[in-house]
Amino acid sequence: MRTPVQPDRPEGRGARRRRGARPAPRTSPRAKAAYLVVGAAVLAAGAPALVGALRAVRATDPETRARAASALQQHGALLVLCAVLAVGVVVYATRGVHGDDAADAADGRARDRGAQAAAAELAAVRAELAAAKESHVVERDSLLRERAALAERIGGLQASVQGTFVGLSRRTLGLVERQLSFIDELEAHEQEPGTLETLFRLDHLASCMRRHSENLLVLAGADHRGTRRANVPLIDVLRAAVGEIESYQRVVVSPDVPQVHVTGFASGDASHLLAELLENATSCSPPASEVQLTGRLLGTGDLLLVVRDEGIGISPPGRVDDLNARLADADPGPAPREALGLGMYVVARLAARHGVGVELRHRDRGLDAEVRLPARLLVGGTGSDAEGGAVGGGGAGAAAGGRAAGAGEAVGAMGAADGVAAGAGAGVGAGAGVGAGVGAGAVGGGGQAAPLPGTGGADGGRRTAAAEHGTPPGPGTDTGASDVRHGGAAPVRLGPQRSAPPFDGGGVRPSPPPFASARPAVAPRTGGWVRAEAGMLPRRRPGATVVGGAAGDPASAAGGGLIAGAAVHGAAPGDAVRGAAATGAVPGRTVAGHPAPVQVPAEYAGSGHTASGQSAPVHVAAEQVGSGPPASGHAAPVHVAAGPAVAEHTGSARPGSGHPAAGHPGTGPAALSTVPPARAAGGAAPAGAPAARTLAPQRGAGAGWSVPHAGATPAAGVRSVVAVPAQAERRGVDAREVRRLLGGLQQGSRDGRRAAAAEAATWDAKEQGAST
Amino acid sequence: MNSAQDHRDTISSLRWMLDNFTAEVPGVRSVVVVSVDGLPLLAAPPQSASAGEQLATVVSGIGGLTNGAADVMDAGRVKQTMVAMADGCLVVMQAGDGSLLGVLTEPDCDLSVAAYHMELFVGRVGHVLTPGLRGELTG
Repeated sequence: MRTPVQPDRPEGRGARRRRGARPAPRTSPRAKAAYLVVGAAVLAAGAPALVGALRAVRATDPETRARAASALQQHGALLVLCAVLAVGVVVYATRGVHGDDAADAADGRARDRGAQAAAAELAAVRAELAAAKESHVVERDSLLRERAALAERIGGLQASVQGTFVGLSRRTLGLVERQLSFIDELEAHEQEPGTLETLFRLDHLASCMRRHSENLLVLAGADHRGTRRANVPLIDVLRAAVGEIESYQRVVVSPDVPQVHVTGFASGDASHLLAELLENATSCSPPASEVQLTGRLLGTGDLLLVVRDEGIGISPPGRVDDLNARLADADPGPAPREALGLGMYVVARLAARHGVGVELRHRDRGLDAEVRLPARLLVGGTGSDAEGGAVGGGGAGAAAGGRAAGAGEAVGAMGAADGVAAGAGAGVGAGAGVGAGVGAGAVGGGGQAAPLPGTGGADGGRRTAAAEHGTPPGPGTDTGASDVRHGGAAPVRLGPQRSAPPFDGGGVRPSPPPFASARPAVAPRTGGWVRAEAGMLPRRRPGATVVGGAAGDPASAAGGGLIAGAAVHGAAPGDAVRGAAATGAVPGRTVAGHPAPVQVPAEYAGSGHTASGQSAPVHVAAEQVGSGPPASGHAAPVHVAAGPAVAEHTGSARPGSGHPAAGHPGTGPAALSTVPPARAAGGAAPAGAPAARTLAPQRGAGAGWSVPHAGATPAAGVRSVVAVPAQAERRGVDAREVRRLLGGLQQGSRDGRRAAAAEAATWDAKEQGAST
Repeated sequence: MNSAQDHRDTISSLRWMLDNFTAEVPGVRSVVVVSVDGLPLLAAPPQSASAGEQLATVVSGIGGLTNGAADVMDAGRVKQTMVAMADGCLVVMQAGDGSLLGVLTEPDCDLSVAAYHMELFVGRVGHVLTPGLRGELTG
């Protein structure tokens, strides 16, 4: 019996389960009861028949008994069948009832067990998660602590590095300031033009160094320039800015900048900011091009200054926006890679400090940098004029000493006639003698002054000696002789010196008159612009316009003769330097052996002119001829290299001995090592100096060759002979040398590639940004 | 702006960049840009025609030789070539497509500085040395 039952149960349970799964009801107790009733009914139906049969059996009639017996047998069989059926039904019913219960109970238990297991499992997972969370929290806390510690450490390091920077640059600044004052002192007592000119250049270089040191301070977030109470005329802020850059000769300050003053506390930063923009403009534009600095007042009372260059601009226009965004940012991130970024960073910081708006604008050629000084940084010109004048007078005394005073006297005497003496005197005093040249011109007498420079200009911009000397034409000559020296000296000196006003108050000058009206016709070359290096443009009072007119006329008469015009301004050296720079670049780049540009310095030198101003141009011009682009601050070699170059260009036009460079100790020999091979080899330098330097045969094998400085040059004048020590050890190539060279080459090109790639990537990114 | 004007602008930019190169890198005697076929395109400081052509020929010859060698050896492109002489160095570098930059230096020139500026120059102007511009320069 077990065997059939066993397979049954699962089936039955399975079937019930399946049924149970469906909506149909399972075998309910009522159905089971019905089974019982059916069983009972069957029993009940069989029982009477059985009872009847039993009665019949008891009957006496044997026939009947026999029939009854067979009927009883039949009924009995039926009854048994019914009973069996009933029992079967009952058993089934009861068993079904009990079986269902048992199955349900088993199911419940199984479910309970499953739930318990799941709950346990969940609890375990939860515990696990809680543990993980706990550990993560711990880890996070430790990381946070670590981060805080690291941040603190980095902050400390940064602070210490910044502190180091600040300390270092302050120390440098201190030294530079001392150097400047020392140089000032020397300049005040120096009468020897050559030395004076050297001092001026030192002065300018020190000014540049000071600005760079201040950049370091700005980068470190420190402030250097103390608060100044005295307001500074705008023009002096501009001049200071111009004086702080290397190529100050190329900057042209508009003559009609508004006559306002910049509040003292902002003046230093304003000029520094402008200097950065100017430096950027000069370094990103061709060496012969000008950078214009203009200013005008806006309707809102703000002052708009524009630095305009004609350089390469900023190549993808999108980059301008990027730079503008950085400029507008009060604290742009540390400047990446490029040097440009450094300057921009400084500009942004300085601008943010005073709420100055700086914006770059792309132009067809070159770039405009617009600086908007808010009205609150400005003070009306009239109110502070007197103050400015007073300070100017004092400053002049301090800065220029006796020389300036002398010049001032001269002009004062001249100007006395028409009551502008005070103004002109102050102007000249402050201008450290530039005004003196103008004064000389004025003595020459307005209209009369014109003819001579006019002829100078007439011969196609070839400057005559007279014009270049800045000797005031005609009657003015004798007074000019002394004055010119001052006037000449001044520009060079003042170039750097212009940086002084905002910082030490030494040179605050009265604001300039409207120059544009004073000289209606300025030389075309200058196109109504006043040369910045003539920085020293006489600062005249409006009343002194006669003087201005006198000076201006010759200038315009000089026509294209920029230098002549400049010279007559009394700003000779400055302008001459500028002129030489402009023309000097020409032979360097296009016309080898072009005599004209070089002749300027040549004549200066040749004439044995002692005016410091005049020796300056020689020097600088020569330098530029030699080096092509007028990057000043060159190392010695170029310095003297220029000497020979000049010599070759101009032949015997002027004796080399007159050239300041020739007697320059130390630089001479150094330069000779680069230049004279051509000469030593007897090469006549057919292509002019640069070519000769490049391709002329190398020097002979003699040890310690001694080159007559000009000996081999056919048209040599008097020159010094300079010996250069032999460099015999250079012969032959050793492996170490090659390794060194190759290592340097590889290192350099790797760095260069990286820099170029970084640049390209920046542009690409900007281009993409612009295109999307 | 028409393209001729563009070209002129680009050329003048190239000129003064080259001039700046000679000015900024101490010890550089001359810098030339030549086309691979040996035509001098730009030189700083400017040289006489014959001298310029000589140097251009030398530079393009070196460039051609080394490029050929690199092809033969299957070693990628030529980065730069240095000819170390007793009294000077000549460094040749590919400048853009079809042009070469040659720099002649003093023997004591710091080549790392020179190479740095060369790569910078190439990176800046290599892409503008197009055949059209070359035509303008040589023509």
